[in-house]
Amino acid sequence: MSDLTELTVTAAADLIARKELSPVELVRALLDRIQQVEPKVLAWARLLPEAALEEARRLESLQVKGELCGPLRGIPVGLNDTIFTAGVETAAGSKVLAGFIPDYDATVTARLKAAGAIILGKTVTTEFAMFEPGPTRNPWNPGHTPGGSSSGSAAAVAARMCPAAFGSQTAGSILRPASFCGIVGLKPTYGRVSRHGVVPVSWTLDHVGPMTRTVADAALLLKVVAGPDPNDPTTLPVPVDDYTTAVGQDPAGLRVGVPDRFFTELADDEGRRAYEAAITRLKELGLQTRPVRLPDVFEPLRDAHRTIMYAEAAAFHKKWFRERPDDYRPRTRRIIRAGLLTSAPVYLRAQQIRTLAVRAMLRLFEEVDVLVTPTTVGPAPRGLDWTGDPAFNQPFSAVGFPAITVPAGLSSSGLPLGVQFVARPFDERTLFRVAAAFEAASGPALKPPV
Amino acid sequence: MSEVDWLEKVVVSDEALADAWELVKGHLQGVEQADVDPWTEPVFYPNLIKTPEAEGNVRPH
Repeated sequence: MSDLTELTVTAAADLIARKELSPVELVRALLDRIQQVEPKVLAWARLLPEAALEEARRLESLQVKGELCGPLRGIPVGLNDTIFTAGVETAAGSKVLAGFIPDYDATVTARLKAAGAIILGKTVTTEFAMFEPGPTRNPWNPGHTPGGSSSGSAAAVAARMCPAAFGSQTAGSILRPASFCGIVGLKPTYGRVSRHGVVPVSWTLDHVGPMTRTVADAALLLKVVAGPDPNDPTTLPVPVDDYTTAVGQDPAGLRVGVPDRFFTELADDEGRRAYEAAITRLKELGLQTRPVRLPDVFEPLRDAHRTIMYAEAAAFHKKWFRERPDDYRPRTRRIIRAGLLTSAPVYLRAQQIRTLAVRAMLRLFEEVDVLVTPTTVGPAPRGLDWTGDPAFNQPFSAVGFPAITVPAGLSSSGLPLGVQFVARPFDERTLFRVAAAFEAASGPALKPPV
Repeated sequence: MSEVDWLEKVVVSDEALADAWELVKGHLQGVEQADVDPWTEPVFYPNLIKTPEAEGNVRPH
């Protein structure tokens, strides 16, 4: 292939394994691409060109000797700036943590490195992964938000600056930016991927997951980072599958639930049209689509989510917020202040609502194998002062069920739209099976004009 | 571990949902709109509305 920046994770790893591509060549090609497009996109909080090249040279020498192994051998990745990297600043998009250099890797970072990945840099996140945007622009149109909080990860992958990146999601922070930038984003089941060494927003709601240009790459990356971690007691000893084998498996006959309300009511015209086209495509693939009644707890769940997020964010930030309130931007300040004002009975009621929602959603999944919804209300909104509405992703972050977004075409204004699939807890395999079939039927990956 | 065990942390009945929601919603509206200092203002149950009685009872935590 002439343009190495177009390689997916799977394709590049395969070429490197066959000694047809050197990790050094790949890193250099991506650094050249970054030099060309980064001034327009501003996806990186911190680039690590020297360290990445040094690691690439080390891996290349192993490759020459036939000793290079690991599923991500020589693959450069970006990490959201909330994810700890030993010896490299991790500021979480904030003034408060500016200059903070962790002395250990997050579990996700360590597992990626152990699998042979090269950390290319830290990508821009909103302030503390909440709602105050960073400088990143949407590679499809610089006047539009890339979404957030994982803004830089989404924009960097879409703009071919790296084949994969990781983000974190508390409401819609992986799926929303992935959809706005026209790539694949996965929020795994709560408990599937360790959050150890990731700056938290809310321990009940936080997830870490991959952002890629194909479903197969997301499946490969999940396998690398998933599994129990003694440093994160919320991770569970549920077997980790080889998810890549689900890609290409015929999904015909699987039951797809089409929610009867909420999503179609809130989606804009373009979002609704893309969603209807997606449902038609699923039918053509032999999937059994059927309307499903969303449980009544769905609406209270949105308020419960906010309450839990505010209270837990306040618990984390309390000391810094008391000492340095002016170092927080207004939207973050409002969230922490609201959390500090939340009483224990209110927080516990919110947790009760969440538990009811989990039970109701488990009952719903007795009727279907996956749910399908639009990923976002519509395409990326104009302007850079907010990151868009996470309403369609927030409920699944609240209950912890796995969700993936896959590109579903472009709006009339040339901005990407996405479709979201949700599965029952720990059934990422079914998610990949359906998402990959949908992706294959949708044509080649989208490429922004940047 | 079953899926239900995984998430069975706090229990509430379906019947209590409306009450729980009312409390949470009212509180959210209060804290999101209130212009109060969380370090010095007491939390007014359920939604930060200061009653005349409460006005006379404000003290720092």
